[in-house]
Amino acid sequence: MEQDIVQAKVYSFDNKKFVLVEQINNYLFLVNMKNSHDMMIRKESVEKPNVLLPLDDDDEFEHALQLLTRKKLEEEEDN
Amino acid sequence: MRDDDIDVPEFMRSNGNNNSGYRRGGPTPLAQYNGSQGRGDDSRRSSSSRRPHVDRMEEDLRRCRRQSVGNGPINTVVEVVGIATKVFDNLRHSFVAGAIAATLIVTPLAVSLSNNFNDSVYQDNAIVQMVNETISDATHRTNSGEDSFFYDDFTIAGILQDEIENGASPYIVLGALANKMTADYEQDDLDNIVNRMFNVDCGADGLVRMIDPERYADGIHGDNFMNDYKTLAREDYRTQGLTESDDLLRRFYYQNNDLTPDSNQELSEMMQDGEQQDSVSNEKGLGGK
Repeated sequence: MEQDIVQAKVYSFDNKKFVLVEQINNYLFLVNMKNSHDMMIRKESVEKPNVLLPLDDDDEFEHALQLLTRKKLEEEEDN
Repeated sequence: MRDDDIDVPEFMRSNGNNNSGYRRGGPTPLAQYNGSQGRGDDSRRSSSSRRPHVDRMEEDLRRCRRQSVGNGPINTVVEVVGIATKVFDNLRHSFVAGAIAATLIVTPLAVSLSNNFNDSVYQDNAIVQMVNETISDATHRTNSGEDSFFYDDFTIAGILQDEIENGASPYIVLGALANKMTADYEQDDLDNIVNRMFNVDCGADGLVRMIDPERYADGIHGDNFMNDYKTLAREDYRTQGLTESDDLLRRFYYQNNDLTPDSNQELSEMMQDGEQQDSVSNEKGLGGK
C-alpha cells in the first residue's frame, strides 16, 4: 500500500538528523527524526542556510513557543 | 517583536499579570522546582502525584531550551527528503503539544515551566548542580518511616569544602545550599553545614549578615541574598559588585580554615566592620579559631 509522502527539510549534524516541522518568521522548529523528545528551536541564517543560529535568551525562546502556539490555535480555529 | 506586535492573547502575555495566572521572570524558590533532583516535600509531592507524561513533557521542553538558547551556531548539511506524512505529522505534533503546554495556562505545567525558565538558567550552573547532587547523595532515609530523611552534614560540608578549595565560588555554593534547604526542619542542618564549612558558629544567617549587614539583614533566605546568588550563578561570575562579595567570602573561608599562612588584616577589618553594623543579628560573630 502506498504511503503519503511529504517533502521535508532535514538538517544533519553530529550524526543526528533534525526535521524542520515548522517555520515561523525566521524561527525553525526542529525535531530529531529518531527521537521525537529531542527538539530545538533555532534561527535561520540568511547568509548561510546550512547554519542554525541560537536564540538569544529565554525570552526569545518563550516568544518562539508563543508564536508556534498561536499559529496552532489559529489553524484550529480555521478548521 | 513583542507580544503586542503578534497580538498574543491577554492571558498568554508575558507581563506577569497576576490575575492571569501566567507569570514570568524573577527567580522562584527552588522548593518550587519540580526537577528530579529535589528532595524536599514539594518535589516528593510532585513526583508522586504528577502524571509521568507531564514530567516527561517538562523534561523535553527543558532539554529543548538547553539546545536552543546560547549554544552557538551549528553547521549542518541540509537536504530535502521525502518522509511519510504520518511520521512527519507525529514529529510536528510532539513540538506543538509541548509548545501549547508551555504557553497555555490550562495546565499547571505551563506555570511551572514559565517560572522555571529563569531558574533553569542558574540551575545549569555547574556549581549549583554539584551542590544539589552533593546534598541528594548525602541524604539518607531513616528506618522510622518512608518519608523521613536525615542529612549527613559532615559529608556534605567536607565535599563542599573540597569544591571551594578546587575553585568553586563559595558564594554560589552557599546560595545553592540555602536554596536547597528551605524548610524549617532543615535549618539546623543548614547551620551545621555552614558552621563546619566556614569554621564559624554563627550559622547561615549570621554569615551572610557579615558579608553585608544591611543588604542581607533578612538572612540567607531573604530575597536579597537569594537574588544575588542566582544572579551571580546566571552571570557566571561576571556580575560587577557581586564578585567582590564572592572574593570576600573566599578570603574569609581560607582565613578561617587556616588555609593561608598569613591572616589578611584588611579582610578582618572588613568582616569586623560588618559585624559591628549588624544590628539585626546578635550572632556571636566570626567564631572559628
